[in-house]
Amino acid sequence: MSNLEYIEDYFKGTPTPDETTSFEERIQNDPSFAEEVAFYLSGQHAAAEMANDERRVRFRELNFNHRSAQPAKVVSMRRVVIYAAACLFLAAVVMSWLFFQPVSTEKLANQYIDSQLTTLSVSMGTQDNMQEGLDQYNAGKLEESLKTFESIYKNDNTKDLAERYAGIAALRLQQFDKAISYFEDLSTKNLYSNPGKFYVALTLMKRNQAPDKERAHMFLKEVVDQNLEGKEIAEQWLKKM
Amino acid sequence: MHSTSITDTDIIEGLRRKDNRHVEYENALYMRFAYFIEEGRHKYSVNYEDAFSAYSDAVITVINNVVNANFQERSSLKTYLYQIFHNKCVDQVRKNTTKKNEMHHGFVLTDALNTMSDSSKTIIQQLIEKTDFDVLRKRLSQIGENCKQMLLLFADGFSDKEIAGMVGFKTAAVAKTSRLRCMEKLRHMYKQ
Repeated sequence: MSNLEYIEDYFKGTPTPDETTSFEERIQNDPSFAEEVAFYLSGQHAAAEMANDERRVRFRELNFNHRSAQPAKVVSMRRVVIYAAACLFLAAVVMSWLFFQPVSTEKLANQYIDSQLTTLSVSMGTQDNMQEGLDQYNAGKLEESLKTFESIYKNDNTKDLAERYAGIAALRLQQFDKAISYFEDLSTKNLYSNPGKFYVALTLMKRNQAPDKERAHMFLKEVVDQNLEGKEIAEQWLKKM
Repeated sequence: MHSTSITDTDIIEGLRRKDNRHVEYENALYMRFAYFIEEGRHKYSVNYEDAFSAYSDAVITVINNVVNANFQERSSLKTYLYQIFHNKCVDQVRKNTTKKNEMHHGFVLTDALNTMSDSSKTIIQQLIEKTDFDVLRKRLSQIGENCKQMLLLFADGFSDKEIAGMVGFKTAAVAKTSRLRCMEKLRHMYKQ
């Protein structure tokens, strides 16, 4: 078996000085032997490196499995998933609640009052006392304006506009019963454009007490069915209520 | 075998026994102090891969030193491994700083070679420098599983008696003869 055993015995053993001398003489005088020595050492080195590389691969696998199996990470990942799912669920609930939740009738009424009834338009040719009531109303003097409109209406109950304004002033003053009374009376009158039932509904929505919502719904439906003044807004509110 | 249920002594003795269970003890050693990786990562500001490599190399060094009786047990296994790991991390930082991605794989001369005269040593060194290690490794991987196992075990410090026990030969002499035949076969394959 060539010289490999001899070479190995030399390196693995404890050569005597004579053995070392003989070994070195062969290295220096026999290129083929020197090449075998070099190959033996290279082969040992390559094998050792390969063994270590195989360990590195094994350790990498261990490391991967260890990291994958770490409870803390699993829990944290699980928590992330749970939190994400919980957030999505909550978002869905909130969105659906916002989407399907009926809008407060009082809120709808307030929006309408704020946008449409904080000032009343002053028409040309309006009678002086009616003008006075409107000026008081638009100046925020609601109680004074109510008295003015009531005075006009008591003196002449054909003054439908005074009744209407008296109802609106009462509504703004949160005198709901009085406002409803004026608006219900107004609704019975045969006018070309009668907002009476719409205003009754508006007042009920603003008051927002136990049966008010149902009654407001009923009045709004009548406004729509009978094509009365305020129909378009009534339709929108009915969808939201 | 669970890595946390065995002691340093178990690991050291398990590695030194050099039997079929040596892989288990190597793995146990690796897992026992694997938390060094995260520590090293933060302490030396290296990335995870670098810390992992440093730790793997440190564990391999410890294994070799334990197997070859270079570990004197003057310190605990943990202290010993950590010191080597520290040095590997410093090497890693240095390598990153100097942007030398290729570590120099200098051939480690055996003690026996160091006892030779300079003229003999020079001849062998020059011949080794001509070795194409990529080809040699490729041939080693192609030589067959039994041969490869014997050559790797021997290079790892296992004796022929231990190899005989692991591979299934009756005597150390048979193991040695078989192993040297494998070495000869490797040489022929390399030359082709």
